[in-house]
Amino acid sequence: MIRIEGLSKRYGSTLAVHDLTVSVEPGRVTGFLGPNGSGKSTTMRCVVQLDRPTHGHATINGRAFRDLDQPLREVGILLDATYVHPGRTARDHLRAMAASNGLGKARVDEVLDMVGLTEVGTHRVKSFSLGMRQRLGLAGVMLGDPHTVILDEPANGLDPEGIRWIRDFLAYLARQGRTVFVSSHLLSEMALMADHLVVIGRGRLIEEGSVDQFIARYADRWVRIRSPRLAPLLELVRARGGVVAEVDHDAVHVRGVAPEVIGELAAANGIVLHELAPQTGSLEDAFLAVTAGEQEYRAAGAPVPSAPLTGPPPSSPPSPPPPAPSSNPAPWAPPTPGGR
Amino acid sequence: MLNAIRSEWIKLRSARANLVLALLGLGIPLVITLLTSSLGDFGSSDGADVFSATVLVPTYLCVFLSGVIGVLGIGQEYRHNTIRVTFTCEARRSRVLLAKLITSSLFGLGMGLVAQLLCFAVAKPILSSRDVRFGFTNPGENLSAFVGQVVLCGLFTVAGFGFGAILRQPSGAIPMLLLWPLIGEGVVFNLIFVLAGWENASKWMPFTAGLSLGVAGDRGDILDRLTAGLYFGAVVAAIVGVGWWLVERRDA
Repeated sequence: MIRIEGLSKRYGSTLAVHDLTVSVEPGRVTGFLGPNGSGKSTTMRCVVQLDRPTHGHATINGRAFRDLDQPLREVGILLDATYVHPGRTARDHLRAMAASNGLGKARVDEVLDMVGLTEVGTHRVKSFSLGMRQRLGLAGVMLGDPHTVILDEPANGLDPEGIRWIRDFLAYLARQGRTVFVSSHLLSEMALMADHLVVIGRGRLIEEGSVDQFIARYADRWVRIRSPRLAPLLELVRARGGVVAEVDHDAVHVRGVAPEVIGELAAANGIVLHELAPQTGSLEDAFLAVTAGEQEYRAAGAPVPSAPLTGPPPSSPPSPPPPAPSSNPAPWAPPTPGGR
Repeated sequence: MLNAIRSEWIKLRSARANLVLALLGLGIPLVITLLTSSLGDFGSSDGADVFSATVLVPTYLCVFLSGVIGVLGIGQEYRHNTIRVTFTCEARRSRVLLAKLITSSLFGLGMGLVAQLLCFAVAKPILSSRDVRFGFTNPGENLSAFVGQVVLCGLFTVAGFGFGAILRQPSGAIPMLLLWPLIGEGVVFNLIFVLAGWENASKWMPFTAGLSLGVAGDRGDILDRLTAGLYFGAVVAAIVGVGWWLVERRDA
């Protein structure tokens, strides 16, 4: 278990992390989300005491990182796959890591095999692609068979097969009861990978909760309707407070009215429906909505996510965040997209 | 602690730059010794002069290169950001630093020892065949200089480690290590001489004092070997102390 309490980190005049309090529980994959420059990597570096927090502290299973006698056996860390001496072979890189914690050569060969790099173990790292370096980094993470895993953007540079591999791998680790804390900017991957989310912006905690709760709370929701008699149906829907956006000649998106209500209206008025489909935005939509005001850098003219017509306004993320709902607030909201 | 030393040893021997520098530090002095012992005119030279020309002076290169290896031992870690991996494998930084210090200083001492033994082994038969008096016995002076030069290699490696820890980049620390004794101290001495008229300041220049550890024969106006060793050792310890403090204190 990782516990971060009141963590702040200041670099000169820049407050990178501000009073962050988070708990990362074992037995699940906790995703760490935030826009570029939001303080994710800084937080992770502070957890393992590479950076000295200005205030607050972090513990891993109740102990500060510097108190761990053989850290690799307790915490596996991958902050950046490029942190390797390019002139060193993959095996020597891992052997140096392993030796520092009293681990033998056999374990190095095991983890090289685990990540599929056995054949290139004697090659210098400068000949490796980013994906291969990422796998090498993961091999280093698993050297000591740790109960806690901290990964910063582990899917970077991996091909689709590699991404699926890491997703399955992290799920496997979590199922074993380990603590898995992983940041990623690949939100579609995070939706599939994470059970729990910690979202920060400008160094502050924006939201913490399950992926389902996060999407339910922040993602846009609407109902897609197709019918040969759209016009009379839309009049009825508007009368119930629905907001209609036309998609094409026989399909519309309706916000503000539940699909059950629309179905009943159609049935009561003898209107044939060809489609009545509740829709929910993705984790990416939810993330963009909740961090819209928290992005430090944004390209000129970059689109800002449109305000959903139901749910909380995206341009004003709650601060402090409201308590997470105990269940999905919209009875007609579908299950989490992508289904884990 | 042994684990940390083992880890640092693997790093040291698995980086090609270190191996190249070690080979240069051993090979080039050997070639110089081969040339000087074969072609040198030692007609009026005493034993100390011959020993200096064939063993001590050629291995000065080894001294400087062992210093560069000391810089790379920590500087490369910062350059490639592998220091972050190192500090996540061994959370107590002082343990990592001590392991690096022990490993690189032993490597430097070993380099100095092997380089001089190789030079001696090459020069001995050549000079014997030319009937030139050559050996460690010159009322013990040559042996003292030999040992002093080995110690100098070790201290230079440690100084390199200190500069690497302070500057965290080999591109800054290596010039600092090489230019300070070769140019910097000459400039400082000249300033002191011109401004204060102190003629004996030269021997108190730290690296000049250190380099005098490997001087055989007449020591003239330089510090005796023990004083020079202690003085240079204290300066090196101060450099390492500053570097150590900074590494402990700064974000990795």
